[in-house]
Amino acid sequence: MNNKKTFTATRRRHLIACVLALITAVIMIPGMTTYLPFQMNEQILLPILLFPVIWTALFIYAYLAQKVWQPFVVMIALCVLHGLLSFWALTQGQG
Amino acid sequence: MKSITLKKLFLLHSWVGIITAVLLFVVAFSGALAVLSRPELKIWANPELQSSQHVASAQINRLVNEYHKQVPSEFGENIHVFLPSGHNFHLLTLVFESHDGDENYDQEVARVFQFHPDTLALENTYYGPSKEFYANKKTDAPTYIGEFHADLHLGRPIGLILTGFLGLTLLVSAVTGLFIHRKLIKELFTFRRDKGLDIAVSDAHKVIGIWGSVFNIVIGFTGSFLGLATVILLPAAAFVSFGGDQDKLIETFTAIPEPVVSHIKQPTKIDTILEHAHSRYPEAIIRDVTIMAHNDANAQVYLRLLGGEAVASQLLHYKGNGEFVQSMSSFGDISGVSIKVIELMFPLHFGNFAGVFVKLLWVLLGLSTALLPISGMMMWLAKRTRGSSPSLSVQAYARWNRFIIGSCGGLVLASFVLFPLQVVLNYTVIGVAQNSFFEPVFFYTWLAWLLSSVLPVGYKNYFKLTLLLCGASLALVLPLNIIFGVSNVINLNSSLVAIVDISFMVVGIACIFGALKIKNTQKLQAEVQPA
Repeated sequence: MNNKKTFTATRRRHLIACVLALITAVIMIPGMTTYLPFQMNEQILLPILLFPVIWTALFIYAYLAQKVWQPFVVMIALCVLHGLLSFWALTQGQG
Repeated sequence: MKSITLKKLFLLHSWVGIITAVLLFVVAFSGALAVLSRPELKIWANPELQSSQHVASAQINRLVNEYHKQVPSEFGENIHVFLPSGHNFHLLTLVFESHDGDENYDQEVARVFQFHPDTLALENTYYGPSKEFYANKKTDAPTYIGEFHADLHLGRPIGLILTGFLGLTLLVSAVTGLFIHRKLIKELFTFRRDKGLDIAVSDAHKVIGIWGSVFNIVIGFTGSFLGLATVILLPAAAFVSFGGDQDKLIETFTAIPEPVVSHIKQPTKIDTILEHAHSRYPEAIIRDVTIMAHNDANAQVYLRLLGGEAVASQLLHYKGNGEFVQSMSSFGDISGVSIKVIELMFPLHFGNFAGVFVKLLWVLLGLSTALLPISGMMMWLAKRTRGSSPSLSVQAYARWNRFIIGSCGGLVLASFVLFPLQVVLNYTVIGVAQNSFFEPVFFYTWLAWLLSSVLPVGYKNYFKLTLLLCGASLALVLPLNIIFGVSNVINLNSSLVAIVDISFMVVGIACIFGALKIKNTQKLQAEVQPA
């Protein structure tokens, strides 16, 4: 099986899958605690529980996406969104 | 599903498998052994536990009261009683703790008294920082293997992060494997053992992978959670809600509130409480007891139970006068679905929720998980030696095989060697002094076997020798225990010891028999011939 025909931009996909997927999944944990419509314990525990699922999905998506920029944009967007939510919650003293 | 997507999934499955193969084998194999480490193999490894795992409630009450009088008052804040159940210490252990230290220490400090579970003779005492006591407690071969499974003895957090990520990669491998072997029903029952080694290995990989897929997903999920929870997930979760204070988060979720000491004397009825717990949950094992404000009117007692009808471990709360308050999860009185799922992760990962037969099933499934990366690697290597222009020479193929046998077989050998070592140590070395033997024997055996893989011997001969040594190590346990052991198959002092010894002998003989069935490599030259 020829790798070059199967994947485009393999190195960038490796980087996105191995580094960016992990960073995104970790940033999403505190970010999700700010908007999940549950009690405090569920708000905190659910993102922790979802971490393996989110990471696995992002990791696989990094390789399956047709264009390499697609997972990159999705993950950056998730990072920025959840980072901003966390920052907003911290500065508003909602913690 | 599009063929290009399947190709991508196949490549992803191969890459993840090849990169993590050896480490995944290491974690899966040690995990399979660790399933039986507590309490079965721990009892086998400790003569003190073989004689008795039950101490009368009245005796525990007497000892707590007697030794509470001997320690300064600040050490009565928290009293922990670790029962000799094969889950914690090998001795009945009373820990009197002072959270704020004392005149000699400005950190949490403990005075500890350890008793023989059968005779209740005082065997050991300790005074010093609590952390040091727990860090330096006596270990044994099965506990050493269990701890190796948790963090590969790389320390925390590095080891935990590594095993946590191996859980994640196992999850990726299991999910991608299910997609690429989408003809599930057909491949569930296809095993062509008469079509040559390559096809047999390929079929075995698919059959084991598909039959064990649910188990692998569960183990990958729970393993990644257990590995990463305290080092990445909890700090991340605490970042917003608790301003990054992980301790505050844990305190909120696991809080056993400190009672207000009334300074009104009232005996804490530890024996009544233990008896009540025994009668309420007759099948469960009481692992430990925490007594707060002992012999005060506001005393609170917490019992940690494992087994019985409950799948997850549970915490029983009593008042000091013996009044039962409530039963809750081991994390405390938390409501919600998520905590229930987290509670279930522990028994699902350890297989300790429905008796020894489920544990044995977990051992078999764990061993099958260990076989998956090996068979996958063999398929990957074999594929590269085939065709008109193979990318792997015969020499390189042989070297790779020797590396796999040296690293993976070396781990199996190093683990098995610890069991006869345990029997000899029980006879020659007393108590905590045993701890210093496990690490060098384990790692030097493993290293020696890995280094021996560079020797230019036929890999089949090398595998045969590995299997012979593994079998011999296990088969040695029974005769050694007859010579040195307090309990063995002759005197039948402990049926558990007899069953474990016989099991080791059976597995050992099976390994030796399997090794003798392997045909010798014809000639060394055959291996070094060009492709």
